[in-house]
Amino acid sequence: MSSLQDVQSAFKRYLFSEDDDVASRIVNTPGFDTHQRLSIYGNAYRSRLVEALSVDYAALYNLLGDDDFHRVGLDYIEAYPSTYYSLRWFGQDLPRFLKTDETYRDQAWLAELAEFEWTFVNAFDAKDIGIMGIDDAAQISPDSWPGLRITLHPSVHWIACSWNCLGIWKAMKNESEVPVLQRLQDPVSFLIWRQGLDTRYRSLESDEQVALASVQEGNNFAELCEKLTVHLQPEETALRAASLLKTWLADGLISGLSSE
Amino acid sequence: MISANNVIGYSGRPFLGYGVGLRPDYYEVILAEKPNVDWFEIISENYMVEGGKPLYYLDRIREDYPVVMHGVSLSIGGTDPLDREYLRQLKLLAERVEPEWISDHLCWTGQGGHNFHDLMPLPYTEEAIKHVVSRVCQVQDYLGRQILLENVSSYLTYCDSALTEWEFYTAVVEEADCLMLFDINNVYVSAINHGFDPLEYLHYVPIERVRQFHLAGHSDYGHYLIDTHDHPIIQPVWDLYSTALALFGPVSTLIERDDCFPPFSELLTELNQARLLGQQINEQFAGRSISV
Repeated sequence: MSSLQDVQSAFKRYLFSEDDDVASRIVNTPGFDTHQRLSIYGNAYRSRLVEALSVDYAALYNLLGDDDFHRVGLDYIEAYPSTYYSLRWFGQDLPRFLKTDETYRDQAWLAELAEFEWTFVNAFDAKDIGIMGIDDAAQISPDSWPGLRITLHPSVHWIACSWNCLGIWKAMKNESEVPVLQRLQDPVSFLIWRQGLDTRYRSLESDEQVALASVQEGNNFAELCEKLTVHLQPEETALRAASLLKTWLADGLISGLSSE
Repeated sequence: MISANNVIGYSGRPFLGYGVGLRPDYYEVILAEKPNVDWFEIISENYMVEGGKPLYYLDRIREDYPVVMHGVSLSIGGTDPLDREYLRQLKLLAERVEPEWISDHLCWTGQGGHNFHDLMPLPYTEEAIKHVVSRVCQVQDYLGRQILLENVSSYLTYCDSALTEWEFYTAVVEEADCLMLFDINNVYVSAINHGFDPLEYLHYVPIERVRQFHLAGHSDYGHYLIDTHDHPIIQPVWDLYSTALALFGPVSTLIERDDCFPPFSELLTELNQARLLGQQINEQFAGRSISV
């Protein structure tokens, strides 16, 4: 190992595990000693990453407060040190970490709220692709509808919540009092997407979620109608599917319509 | 898309004038008011995304102003292999932005596949010079252009360092044939933290390679300073800037702010102070010929 590699490895051990081997390679100065000098880097490493998490997970931060969020952040940094060239991606494993880490996995709302917020992060800068409008659908001939395939805009995602994540998130956005954490009587699914430059959300009916999942799986319109029979009578499905498609087009959720 | 006038001043270097770091807090005011800023500098990594607001605002602002790209994750002094995907993204962004130039820092930012998201100091050794020079050459070959390297603020000195920071910086840029983004505040911060004379630094560096200045504020912890970019520029840094201008001639100057964002008008006040000092120096230098 070169001397440069050696010193960088030693510095990393200091940042990651406070192993201070590297201290022997640093010039000591009276009044501003080696450990003080090193700690500037150690503190900056952790505080910068925790700050990045507090921006991406602002509602979680709001709910937990400084100390608890900081503890979560430090545990995450240790478990998932950044492998990304941009801080944009550093926080992406937090929901998984909170879901699996033995300290946090029993508090299921932590992972759920984190996943809810990360969905907004992904919608914010998802790929720019043109969207289809009602007029595009009007040009499809009646014969082509059964084979119609629908492509969702890359920003479109949905998430099922068993806790009052939306209320907690809205309190963060509105800078209002954070509501008490509550388990919902029935889970609610939310659709999150970007329309133009604005990130949007709304609740999803259970049959709409089934329909969106069918589209995401690559099914055509006829197959989508078939999936809806879980919720509707067979003769109702085509009308409901057409109504959903109209809503999706109006909301800017669709980036492609193609007939087989 | 607006291009700089590319004024080749009497110093011989391209001169963009006086710029500000482009940050999301200021997107709307820039588009609405078209402030008297000559150019903007972006943090390259913040625009390595697929869509949404970052690229929308970048494209709109680029229509009205010259832009330069400033990166934080090149890790030119790192001992991991150069990140090819990062370089690919950098090149793609450069094709979109058509920047006047591309810069990053003379430092390392990670090891063993991990990014610390910090600007880590290098030991000032012959080994490090050779290592960095080789990597700068690879990057410049890939991008098809010279890059600028910025001096970083540092808080410690390695026992291995056989050179001063300015000897190291100079050796790297000369041997790699790259350019310098000279951060005046970083010189000041490091001078206090290490107890050197900043004027010695200024007198040593090869002025013909300096393409850009950074000016910023820092945090004062009594017996040391941290380069936080969250305060106004202090008078000693302005004084050092004046000295640098007197030595180097006109240099494109940028005000950096990364936290505790004030109203944009406050940054414009700092920018105008930089402009005034620059214009005074220009008048003093007018008619002189500097060999670069």
